[in-house]
Amino acid sequence: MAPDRIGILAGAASVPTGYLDLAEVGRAYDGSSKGRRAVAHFDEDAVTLAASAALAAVERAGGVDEPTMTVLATTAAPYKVRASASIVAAVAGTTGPAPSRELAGGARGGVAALVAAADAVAAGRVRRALVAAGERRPAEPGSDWERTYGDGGAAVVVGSGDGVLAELVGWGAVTDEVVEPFALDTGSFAQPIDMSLWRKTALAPSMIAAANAALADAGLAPKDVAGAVVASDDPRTAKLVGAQLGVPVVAPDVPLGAMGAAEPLLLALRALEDADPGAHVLVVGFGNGAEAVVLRATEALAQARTRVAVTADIKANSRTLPYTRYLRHRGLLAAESEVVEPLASQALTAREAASLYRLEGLVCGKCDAIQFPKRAVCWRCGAREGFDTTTLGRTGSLFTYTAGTLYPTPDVATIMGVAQLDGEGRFYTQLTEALPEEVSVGMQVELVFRLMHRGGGFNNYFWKLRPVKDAAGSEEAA
Amino acid sequence: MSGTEVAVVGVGCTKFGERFDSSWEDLAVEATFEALDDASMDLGQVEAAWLGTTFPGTSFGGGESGVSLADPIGFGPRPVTRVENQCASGMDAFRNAVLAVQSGEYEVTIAVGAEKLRDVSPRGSLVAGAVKAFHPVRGKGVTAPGMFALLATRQMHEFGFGREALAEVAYKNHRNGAKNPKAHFRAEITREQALNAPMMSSPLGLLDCCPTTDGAAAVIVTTQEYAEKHYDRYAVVRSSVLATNFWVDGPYLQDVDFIGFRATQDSAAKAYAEADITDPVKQIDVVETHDCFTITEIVNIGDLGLASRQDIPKLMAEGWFDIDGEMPVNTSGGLQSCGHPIGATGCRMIYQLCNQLWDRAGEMQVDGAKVGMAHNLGGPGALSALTILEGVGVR
Repeated sequence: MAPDRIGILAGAASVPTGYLDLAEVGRAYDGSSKGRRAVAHFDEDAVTLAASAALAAVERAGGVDEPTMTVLATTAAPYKVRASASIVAAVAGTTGPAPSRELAGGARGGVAALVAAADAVAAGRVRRALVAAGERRPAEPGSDWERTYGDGGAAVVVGSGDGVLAELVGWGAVTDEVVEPFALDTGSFAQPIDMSLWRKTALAPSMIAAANAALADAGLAPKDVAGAVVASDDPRTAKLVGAQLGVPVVAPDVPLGAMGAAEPLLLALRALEDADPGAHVLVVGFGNGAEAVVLRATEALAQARTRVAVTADIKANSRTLPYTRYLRHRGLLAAESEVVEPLASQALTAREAASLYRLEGLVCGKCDAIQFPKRAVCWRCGAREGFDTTTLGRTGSLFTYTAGTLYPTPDVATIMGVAQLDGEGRFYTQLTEALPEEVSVGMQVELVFRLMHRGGGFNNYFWKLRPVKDAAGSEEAA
Repeated sequence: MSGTEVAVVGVGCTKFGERFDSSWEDLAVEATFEALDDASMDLGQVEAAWLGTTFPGTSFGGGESGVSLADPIGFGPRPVTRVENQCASGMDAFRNAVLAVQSGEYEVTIAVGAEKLRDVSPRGSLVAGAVKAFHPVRGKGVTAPGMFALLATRQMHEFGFGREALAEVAYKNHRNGAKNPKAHFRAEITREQALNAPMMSSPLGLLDCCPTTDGAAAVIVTTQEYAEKHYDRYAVVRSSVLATNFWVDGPYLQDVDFIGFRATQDSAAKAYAEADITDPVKQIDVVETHDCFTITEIVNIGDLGLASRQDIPKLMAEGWFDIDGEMPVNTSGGLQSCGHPIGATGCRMIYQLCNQLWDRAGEMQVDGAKVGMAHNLGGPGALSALTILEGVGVR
């Protein structure tokens, strides 16, 4: 028998700290833009954004103690051939005897992933499912999409029982073949389309139809809904759909841009963070048709809002990334000298997967010294046995650092830092999302999962240090 | 030291610099025969050789193996062993040449250190090596200055000194190097030039870094008995040691303090015991130490027990480590001025010590120098080679 209450147990977002000032972008072209959009740092891709959110969501849900399905939704997967969901699972700790799914191509994947997860739990196939979405979509410099898209990630853990904070109570969907914004498999960038045609004849009608179907499924009328997430990649459609349904549209605290598959999850969490128990949130995603769900905030939410809190993450999007640096970060202001392809090994990456993705190390049973990387002989006391597996903490303070320009980077400098991890242990890696003048010994730092390089021809991921987000944020001088 | 007493009887060194005119082989040949001439010896008298080269990849195979030395100098069929121990390769080649004589196996050996870095651009050699090599992601982003800059940042934080302390080292060593005909850089600099140079890896600027240099040096080793019989001047090897420690993952280990290098401290303890040195400042007259970066000299002076760490910048500014100071350090101009052809540096340091102990260091001469110490570091403190020589016959 299906469990009676299925829904979201916890969720988290990973929003880049950087944003593009669209007025600055506009000045480079037609001078017509204003506002801003979130932009990933050069070392973030759809997978790192999804994985970072997934790890935080799993931790908020109390960790992984049973086989958990992993579902990744993205329109910007780093690989054309091979799955990326397993990378998210490796970071979040959900690899093992459980299924994974990948919803790629269309932005409706964000809502569809949530439905797929709930269905799998309802069918009794798994007890828990991790739903993660990440977007860092390529846009041609000067194009409308460059100013429309936003980068980011969001994730929720789906399960059943009393811990559910938002129950999935309604569902509806439409499938429709229409020319949507697209990038061909031979091209790099999303192409311009007839937006008015799409908006009026396909996008808005599909979203409204899916929304009404979901409301009907939940036995609700639009007036019963506290807020609607309309993730359409088109701000005008969001307004249009909200107005036609007569439901207030949920917006992020600062404009982030259209976040594709990640947007419905991110904004659903944002709505839930403030929702009263019993309130309903409508979540509509698009993609050659549309898909919608209705979430009902439960009584448990009142005591556990921190498990869905994303406001601080959204507000951390607080640093201007100068447009020219953004272009360098994307490889669009080409500089071949910025490309590094270090020696890499498929065998090594396989052998050290637990350390590379999960920060797994050893602790010496004799002298308690942390061994990271793992080693056969304790560096401190020489013990050769009695090691226990441990996972490194991800917060600490900066013990020492250096900022240099010799190691190629599309950023202003490569900053190498040694962190004293809280508790015990050290970590030595690059700092990210920091300028040299902002770094000092003793500052609080956290480990974040990033794309290091493409040595060996494949993506090499690892952890970097990032200054702990200051709620106030600090503006970077352009 | 146990076994046969060992002495150095001849040294040679090429001009260090951007030797665009010379191949690795040319440099190795030049240093080898200069050392033989210095010892008034024929190559035929040398029974075995040890070669220090760290990066044969930048010299088209020169230094790839022992035979790469044997062939160009015409040494076959006698044995040559290549020693690769990072930046201490040269001094470890010397240590092996010493051990071979000490053991009684050979009466005369030679250590040759040779490195050809400038057949490629500086960014194509050491920088590219750091980018390409090592673990694919752990510590990725490390560069040679970046390794040592971590100590500079930590020292400055701990002891409260600024980049001025680093500039004092650059100022002193460039002033000394201007007096050294074999040095890569032979121009004095001001402290302001050091402070205003472009930043390489903060807080290390361009003039805190040694240049990328070609060069070779050679040392002839024999028994003290042979030296006494045939030379009116020689240098007794009072100690020649090597200590090892953590390698590239060292920064991940909880106990690493980023203040000093354990390998240097361990090598100094052993060498001082062997050479009966209890007060190095009083008992040692001249020191060559591994100043690949200005901070490294400051770290080394502390590790070698030549001054307390807190006092080093002040003493440096007061001239304590000058040629005519209380404890002359890097009279040659050090790696800062000589450059650092990696495998050659250890032998070049011994070359400098012998010139000091044999009273032929010219403008660099420390009056009455009798006991000298050379310290060759490898990696970011991963290993340390230390040699203590005592001059005989000059005074």
